[in-house]
Amino acid sequence: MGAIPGACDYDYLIVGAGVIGCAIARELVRSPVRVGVVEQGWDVAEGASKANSSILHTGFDAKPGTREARLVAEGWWLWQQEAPELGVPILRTGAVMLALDEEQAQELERWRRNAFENGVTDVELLTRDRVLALAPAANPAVVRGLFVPRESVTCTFTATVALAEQAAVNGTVFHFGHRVTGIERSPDGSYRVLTDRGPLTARWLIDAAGLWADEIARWAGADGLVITPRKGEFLVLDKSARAKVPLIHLPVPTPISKGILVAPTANGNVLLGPTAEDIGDKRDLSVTASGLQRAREGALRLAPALADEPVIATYAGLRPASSAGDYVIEIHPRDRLVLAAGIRSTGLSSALAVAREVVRGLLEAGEPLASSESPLRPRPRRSWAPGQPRPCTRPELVAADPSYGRVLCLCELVSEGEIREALRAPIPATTLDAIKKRTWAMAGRCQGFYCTAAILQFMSRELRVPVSGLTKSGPGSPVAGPPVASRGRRGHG
Amino acid sequence: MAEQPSIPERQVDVLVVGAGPAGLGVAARLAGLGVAPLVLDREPVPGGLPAQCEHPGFGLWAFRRLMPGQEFAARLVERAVRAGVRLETDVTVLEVTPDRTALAVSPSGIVRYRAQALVLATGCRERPRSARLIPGPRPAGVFNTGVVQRLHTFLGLLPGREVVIVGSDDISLVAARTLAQAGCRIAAVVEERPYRQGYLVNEWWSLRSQRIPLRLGHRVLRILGDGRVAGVEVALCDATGTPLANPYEIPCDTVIFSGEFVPEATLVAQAGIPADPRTGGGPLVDQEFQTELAGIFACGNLVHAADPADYALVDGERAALGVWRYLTSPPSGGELVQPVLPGQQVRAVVPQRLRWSGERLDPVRLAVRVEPALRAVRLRAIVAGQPWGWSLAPAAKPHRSVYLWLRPARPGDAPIVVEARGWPIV
Ligand SMILES: Cc1cc2nc3c(=O)[nH]c(=O)nc-3n(C[C@H](O)[C@H](O)[C@H](O)COP(=O)(O)OP(=O)(O)OC[C@H]3O[C@@H](n4cnc5c(N)ncnc54)[C@H](O)[C@@H]3O)c2cc1C
Ligand SMILES: Cc1cc2nc3c(=O)[nH]c(=O)nc-3n(C[C@H](O)[C@H](O)[C@H](O)COP(=O)(O)OP(=O)(O)OC[C@H]3O[C@@H](n4cnc5c(N)ncnc54)[C@H](O)[C@@H]3O)c2cc1C
Repeated sequence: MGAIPGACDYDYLIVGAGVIGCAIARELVRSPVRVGVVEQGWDVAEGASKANSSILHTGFDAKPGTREARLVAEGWWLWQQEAPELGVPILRTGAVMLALDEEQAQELERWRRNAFENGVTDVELLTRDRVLALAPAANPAVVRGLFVPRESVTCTFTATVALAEQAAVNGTVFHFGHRVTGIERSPDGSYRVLTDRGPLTARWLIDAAGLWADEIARWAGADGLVITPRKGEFLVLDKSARAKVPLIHLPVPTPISKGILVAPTANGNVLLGPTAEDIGDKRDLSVTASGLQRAREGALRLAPALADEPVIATYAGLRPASSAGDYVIEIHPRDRLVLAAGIRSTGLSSALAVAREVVRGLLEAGEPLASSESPLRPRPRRSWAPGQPRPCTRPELVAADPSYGRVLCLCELVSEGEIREALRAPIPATTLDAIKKRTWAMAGRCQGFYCTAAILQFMSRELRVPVSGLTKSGPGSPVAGPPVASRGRRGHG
Repeated sequence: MAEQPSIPERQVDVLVVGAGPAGLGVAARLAGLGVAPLVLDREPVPGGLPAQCEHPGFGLWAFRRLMPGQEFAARLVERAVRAGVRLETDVTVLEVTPDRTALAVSPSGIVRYRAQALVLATGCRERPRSARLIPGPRPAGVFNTGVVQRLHTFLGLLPGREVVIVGSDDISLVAARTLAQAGCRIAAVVEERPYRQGYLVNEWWSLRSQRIPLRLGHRVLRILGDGRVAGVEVALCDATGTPLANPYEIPCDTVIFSGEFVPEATLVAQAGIPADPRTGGGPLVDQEFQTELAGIFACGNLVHAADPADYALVDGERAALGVWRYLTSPPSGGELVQPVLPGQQVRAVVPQRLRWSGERLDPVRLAVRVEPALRAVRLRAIVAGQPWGWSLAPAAKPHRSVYLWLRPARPGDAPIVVEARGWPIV
């Protein structure tokens, strides 16, 4: 191992517990090094990794020759290898790019060539009839399609949590609720990372701070990176829509975005979106009336048959877009600084490859790290992952543990058992949002109407915290108010 | 993979899903007729929605006096159990099938019930913020009334300190009063329609007595706040939602989206039981609350969400007679089905059909939803140009049923059209 063990808290300190930071941590702990992750949120996946389309891209539409194109392609294959053991769902639905007029149909040929240049050679141009056979809800005006059979659907929550948990069981230490506020260098060159809860020290600093990666880089002495937020708004349809959407429907892309798509989700819903809008405020996660309308209209152009399907949820995510236009992955050996930034709209797909790219760079810089083949201790098994039958429907599980038979969330059929697992996991859920990410409780059609109170009560009992001390997403987001003032049986009416 | 243990099966005469007023109403009545039904409910406490209501406002019809929901629920439960009903709580029904089986799970295991008759009485829920497409960030402190009631009744907690309630039906108004008395400050009740949805007396009782402002014709344009709600931006709007005046902010830490009820029809949809989009997806039923699938019945808020609990109970008792008839004299086949259709200024009618198996039918009560809201209302049921029944109401609003008794005249399959006349409320 490197110099003076014990002098620093960590050999590598990663800023950001998004999918990229977690993947890098997991890759690093293949070696006997001390890895820390510092995250301002109170859970993993609180940035872009919480609010995206959850598509596992092949990279067919990436700009050839870019780092992004290469890493997305590699990432796709790595996920195929790793997902089963990690318990991450992959639905190989395929995607079809829909040309709705002759002009767009011309474009398809260009995208087919683009796919070949990126090594995605299994794409296929489809006639109208074949498009409609594959995608029965597609706009009947469709003239042609491009079929991309390996485009897949995963779950960004499960993926990020799984990577983080495996990183944790292999020794990574997560510091949640720590916001990095400045960075200092000691005379020996090691980092003193200042946070609102005290400093952390490390030999190497890895910047995987998503939208804020430019600020972190600047503090660490690397100028020139500019990250701008590009907002994407989504609508989620009820499960009733899923049967109409057997695969991902893509529009023909425009220069600024992949466009608004219609996609199944691993959990059995359908997603409409995202929009793409450059905004100024990196904290602005609000959904807007106009954004939702654009998402809806765009999606209904692809699949008008979804017009009457009920919307159960809406959300917005911010893509961390770099001024460079490509991923920024830089190793600065002299400064012992790594940038893994600007991973704008494909980071879920590429995460495992980005992590390897970082380790390759560190090896080149002479860091004594183990190879990517070194084994990791497995992530503890869960009774459920999106797309699998719920424990409450499995007699053997209910017989073995009655808590799987007590269903708290009626819409998603989440039992006490799954919630307990989330509360006791290697990275324990401490907030309602964290429960939602791990179990999908409260994320169904009633959005918590039936179950919120029961889940709070259960969390309170398990965590030995009063309900009034529980939060949605950490301090500052209490889920309930003070105790009832008068508990009279009834008013004087 | 280990061998899946097989799922035990149990035969029952009548299985009722849901122990709210409707389910308990069916069950108690059937027990009185000598059939001992089994009632399953997913909650630990039976009684349905009333069991989570501490406010008085229940039981006028059933017990001749107004009482708190919890007391009402407890009485219904007691009455049913005393009549011989078997009641199991903490049991969630996962699935029903057209051949009248129900898959149910509880901490003691998974069971498949085979029933001769199946009654669905799963109630309704309120439309959440997200489905209403309300813009803004997604902080903590956004609720439906039902969640607030549970926090209050079961956990002894207020939802927050400063509250804005969105919606002005009777449930919203009562919630405002209950919360005000329990220690919240109700900053406003905001209603997007230009008129109050609930009763005038309720406005006096719930709002004016507490000096709670009611903002009619106002919409929530945006929720504000980071971790927790910090306020709502509202504006006076026209019917299309275009602001007529400058938006302004009401500071608060809690927003409650109240009303806009949707039937809890998940089991219905999965089983492929034909449903009525006009009621928001409740099953199509006949005058005895039988669905289109023989032997499967549905009643209460599942078929018309959300009417007062007493009506759900009445539905249930009526459905019990249907179940009884079904069990004792299965359908002969030569039935006539007469559709009941919404006509002018009517959005939905329940039941959606009359089923004739003989020459006469008992009088039928139609639950009618108007659109738009009307004053001095006259409801009429017309068959082939002939009036079959009428009724009057001082006012009718879309979220609440008004009723019309029908005396079915003679068997036939010509549609019954229900129409409403009156002065639009603006
Ligand atoms: C609308 C949209 C759709 C997308 N669709 C897809 C898709 O279908 N497929 C796909 O592969 N990718 C998709 N992406 C891209 C993908 O979501 C991102 O590339 C990926 O999540 C980036 O991960 P990250 O770890 O770099 O960033 P983040 O997930 O944003 O993580 C960065 C973390 O750093 C933390 N942080 C920042 N500053 C500080 C600080 N000062 N102190 C402490 N912590 C800090 C943040 O809290 C955050 O948790 C989409 C993105 C968006 C927005
Ligand atoms: C906030 C609120 C306030 C109200 N205030 C009043 C009032 O003051 N006065 C009044 O008269 N009415 C009031 N009502 C209306 C009244 O509550 C309803 O009319 C009545 O509860 C309807 O009865 P129900 O049996 O149809 O449904 P519910 O009472 O909702 O009962 C349905 C039952 O089915 C169970 N269930 C659902 N799905 C399953 C499943 N899959 N497996 C097992 N069990 C299941 C549920 O747990 C529930 O117990 C109010 C309603 C609300 C929402």
